[in-house]
Parts: sequence; structure tokens; C-alpha cells
Amino acid sequence: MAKILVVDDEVEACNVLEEFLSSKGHDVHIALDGPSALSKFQEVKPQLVFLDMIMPGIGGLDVLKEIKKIDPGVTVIMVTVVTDHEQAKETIESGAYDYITKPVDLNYLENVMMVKLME
Amino acid sequence: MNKLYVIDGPHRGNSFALNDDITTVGRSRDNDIRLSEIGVSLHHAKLVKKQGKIFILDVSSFQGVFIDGQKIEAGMEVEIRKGNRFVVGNSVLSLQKEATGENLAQAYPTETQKTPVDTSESLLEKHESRDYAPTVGLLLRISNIFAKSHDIHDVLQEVIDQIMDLLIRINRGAILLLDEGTGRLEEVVSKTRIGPKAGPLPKINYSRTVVDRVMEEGEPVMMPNTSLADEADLSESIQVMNVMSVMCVPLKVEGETRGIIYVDSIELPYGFRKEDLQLLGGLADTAAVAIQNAQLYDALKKELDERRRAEEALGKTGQALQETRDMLVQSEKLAAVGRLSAAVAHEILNPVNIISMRLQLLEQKEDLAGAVKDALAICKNQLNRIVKFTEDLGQFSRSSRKHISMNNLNEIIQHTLLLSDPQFKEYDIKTDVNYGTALPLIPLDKDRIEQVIFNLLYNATEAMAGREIRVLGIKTGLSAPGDYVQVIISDTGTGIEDSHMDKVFDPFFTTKDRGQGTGLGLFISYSIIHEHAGRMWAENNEWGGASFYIELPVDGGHQ
Repeated sequence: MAKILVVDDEVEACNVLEEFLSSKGHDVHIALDGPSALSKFQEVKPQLVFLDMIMPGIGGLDVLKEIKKIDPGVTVIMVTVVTDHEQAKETIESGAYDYITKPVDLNYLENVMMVKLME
Repeated sequence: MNKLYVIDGPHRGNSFALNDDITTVGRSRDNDIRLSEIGVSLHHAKLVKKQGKIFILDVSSFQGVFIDGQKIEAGMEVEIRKGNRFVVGNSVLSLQKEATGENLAQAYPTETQKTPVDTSESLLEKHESRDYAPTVGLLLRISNIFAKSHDIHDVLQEVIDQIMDLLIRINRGAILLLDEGTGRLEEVVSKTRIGPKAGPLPKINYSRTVVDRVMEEGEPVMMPNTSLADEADLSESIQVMNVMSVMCVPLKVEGETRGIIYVDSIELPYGFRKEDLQLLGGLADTAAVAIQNAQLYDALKKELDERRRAEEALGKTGQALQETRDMLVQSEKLAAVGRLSAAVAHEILNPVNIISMRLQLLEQKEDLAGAVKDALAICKNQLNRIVKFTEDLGQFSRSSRKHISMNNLNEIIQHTLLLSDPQFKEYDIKTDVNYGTALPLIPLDKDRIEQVIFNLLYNATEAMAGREIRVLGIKTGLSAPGDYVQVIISDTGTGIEDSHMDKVFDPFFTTKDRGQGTGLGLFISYSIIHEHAGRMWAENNEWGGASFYIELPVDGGHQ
């Protein structure tokens, strides 16, 4: 079981992931924008973050950099519709563990997560 | 009172009163009777009144004076009686009582006037049987050539050929024209005929005296026998070269003397007879018309050529303008789609993502009825269609950063063919690959160019589905003059309809069944080639299918 923060400006997206991950026994928290994601992160101190790349206001990449400042050891998996490898690579360089693309394959998401958590 | 009547010749109808002592006859102005015609020497003859009789005296004219067909001896006074016809040059004169209102034509019937007046009896003997029918034929032949040929040289050559054929006693003939640039007479055509006596002939050294006189006066000159001519009328060259007879006529274009026709004989005098002068004059007139026509034709042709060149240049400019406009339109389309696609992909994929995840959660429920499972599967498939479409769109939202490296196009094609091989096997497609040798490495984004080739191979495969012959042709090479590397991908499919030819690269244009294609493949390919400063177009090929051409600049478009 892991403590997970899901960040997405789409509340329904957060809800589905919360339902899925909860059903797998994890402790899931959600945030709908960048600023609340940062305060939630500091409050919850999750092991793992699913972070939407494109959000209004502070974007996913900036949130990632802030989170990594707070806790360099945290696992962040980017979720994005952008298939641009350049941008995805940049998130990796900024400390993201991996990135998955929308529409998200839940089995794949779980696999990526479990591989990391079992390290 | 007796008067001298001109009853034939250029001055026919004129009459002259005689002085009481001496009346001079000749071509120059100081004569009492001036006959300004060729064949009349400057000072030709004198008429002397003595004891009520009239005598004529040849003052060394070069053509002589003839009385009733008999040449009189130079320097000898010969009496002229009333009714005698005597000939000076081409003029036939007669001493008569002054006509009083009498019609001259009645007094001298036509028959009399037509009496042959020839100053060169020796020629008459030889050529008497020759009539002038060939002359008409000759003029006709030459007219035909004029009608057919606009080349002035051809026409003049033909004129000289015909003259040489007709005047069998002359040795040389030439046509000289005034060069408008230099103002000098230049030989345009010439022909020589070597007789048994003459031996090899030197280059025609035209008698300047004769030529200059013709050019200056614009009148023909004829010397049937130079040995009888005035010394003053002979040039040194005539004497040195032993020219026996000379005939020279002007070529007049619009009243201006523009050149001459020149013939001479070396071996014998009387290379021609008097009528030949008329023939030569006629030819000269015709040739002059031809010269004028040729000049008009040249001027017209030049004007037409210039106009054609101007039109071509205009056409090219127009075409270039159209191409630029097309490219601009295409660039604008690219930019617009690029801007749109990022937003669209995001807006579509977010809800799709939610639906997709919900469906996945539903699928994982264990107590689902069969019909529900089927419905879920259909929903997932339809979602995949949307995803595929947005992925295509998403290619425009990629960053504009490119990964340019030096690549060999042949290697890119080899790699893409390898990736496409399973597809070829599935559709039973044969490939015919011709790699151009010695292709230079060119700067390009390998991934994107591979994507273009892959797109084209995929389209070609689809186009050949259901066709009897399924051959995919790939050819690479350098396109002339070598600044572009070219790839041609051809299929044996059904080709592109003419009305679709200018639309195949438009975004969202597709002829595939609904759901089978997004109409973005070729558009994306085009935009990628466009980004590489390359060219891409389609043509229908000889196998009934389509061929796609790609050309990428060897220098990457940066000269």
C-alpha cells in the first residue's frame, strides 16, 4: 500500500484514478491545480505523485520542479496528452520517474507504479 | 524639215531637231541629243550636215552605231538617208519629215518597231533558236522559291544558278549586297564556270568602275565586248583580268540601290545579248522584292521571337507566383492546423481519457452480462478511433525543434522497408527497389522522414488492395542538376482522379472509407518535406497507379 497524490485539473479524471487505485488498496489524495497540489504534497507527503502535464495556471513541469525541491526522493509520474518526446524528456531531466500518455491504460499505470514501489 | 525621231527604245516618241552643222549624240549632258540609257556611250556619235546631206559618225562608242543592221566603222562619216533606221545603244532612230499631227504609231507600224535590234550579231547567230519561253519559266521557278524560302541566301543562290544555266557563255556571276553595318558591298553568292580556255579563275575581282557606276546611277551597265569600249569605261581590273564582257544591274529596294547582280565572260566577248539585260533587270527586280520580303520576314520573326520570349517569361513568372501562392496557402494551412491541433488534441483526449478509464474499470467487474461486455468492447474500439485521429493531429503540436543529422536516404528507406515488411507480406505485395548510387549525405530529421516514407508505403499498400498486380516501386537518385535527392514511390493501384490531384495534400482529404483514414497522412508528410525545404508532388504513372515524388535539397535548403 502506498500514499499517492493524483493531480489533474479534470475532477473526473482524479475520481477514476482515485477509485482505481483505492480498489488496489492505496491511500489516494487528489488536487485540481498547481498551488493546491503543492500544499497537498507538503500536507500528505505522498510516496508517489501522478501529475498532469497541462493545467491552467501553474503547469505540470513547474509543479514537478517545486515538488522535487521539497522532496527530491519522491516518485513523480507525469500524465500527458502531449506526445512530444522533447517535452516528456524534459520532465525526466527535471526529476520525473516516467511519463504515461492519455488515454491512460490502467494496467500499464499500475505496472509502472508497482515496478517503482518494489524497488 | 527633217527631224530625228526615236521610233523604238526607252526614248521612243521623242523627236529632235538637227543643228545646221554638228549635232552630238550621247549619254552625257553636254550632248545635243541626250540618250540617257545604258548602251549609249557618254559621247556616242555625231550627226553632221554637209551640202544638204546628213552624215553620222561613230565617235568611238563602245557599242557602235548600226545603220539598217550594219555596223559602221568608227571615225567614218556615213550618210543617212530618209527612212534609214540607225541604232545607238537601245534606241532606234530615223530621219523623217516632221510629222504634222500624224500618229507616229501609224507611221511606224508595230511590226517595224518589233524588228530585232541587236548590237551583237555574233551572238544572234549562236542563240537565234533560243526563244524566251525559258525566261518565263525561270521567273516562275524563282518566284516559287521566293514563296517557299525566306532565306535570302537560298533565293539569291537560286537566282545565280538560273542565270548561269541560261547564259551559257558567261563564266562568272555574283550578287553583291550593301552591308547595312559597314556600308560596303559584300559578295553574298557567286558562281563560276571554267571554260576550256580560261583555266582556274581567280576570286572575282569586280570591276570597280562598272560596279560603282551601277551603284551610283542605279542604272544597268552592259559591255558586250570590252575590246570595243572606251578606255575610260574600262577599269584596270577588266583589262588585267581579260574580262571580255560585263553586265551589271542594280538591285533596287524601294527606289534605293541596295546591291547588284554581276555577270561577266572571260573567254569570249558577247557573253550575252541585249535581251539578257532585260532578263537580268527582271531578275534583279524580283530578287529585290525577295530581299525586301526576307528583311520583313526577319524583322517580323524577330518581333515574334521577342514576343514569345516575353510571353514565356511572363508565363514563368505567373507560374512561379502561383507556386509561391500555393506554398503560402499550404504554409498557412499548416500553421492553422498546427495551432488548432494542439488545442483539439488536448480538449478531446481529456474527456476520452476519462471515458476510457471508466470503461476499463467497468470491464474489470466480474458479474457483467455478455451483451454489456460486447457493448464495452464497441465503446473501446470507437474510442481508439478518436485516439488515432488525435494522435495524427498531435503530430502538429510537437515542438518545432528538429533533430537534424546527416543521413543517407537509401538507409532511411531500407529501414522503413524493414518496418513495413510484415504489412507487405500480409497484403502480398512485391517490391521493386532501385537505390541510386553515390547519394550524398543530406541534413534531415531521420524520424520525420521515416514517418513520411512509412506514410507513403502504407498508402501505396492500401491503394493496391484487391488489385491483380501489386508491385510497390521505390527509386532513389539525384535529380538534375544534382542539388536534390529524389525518391519516387510508385504503386499499381487505381491512381488519383484528376479532380483530386490538387487536393491529395490537403488536410482531412481522404478517399478511404469512413473510419479508415483521417486524411492527415499526406498532409503531414507534405508539411514535413516542406519543413525540410523540399518538394513533394504526385503523378499518375504508366501502370495505372500513383507515383509520389519527394525531393530533398542536398544543402538542406541553406545555400
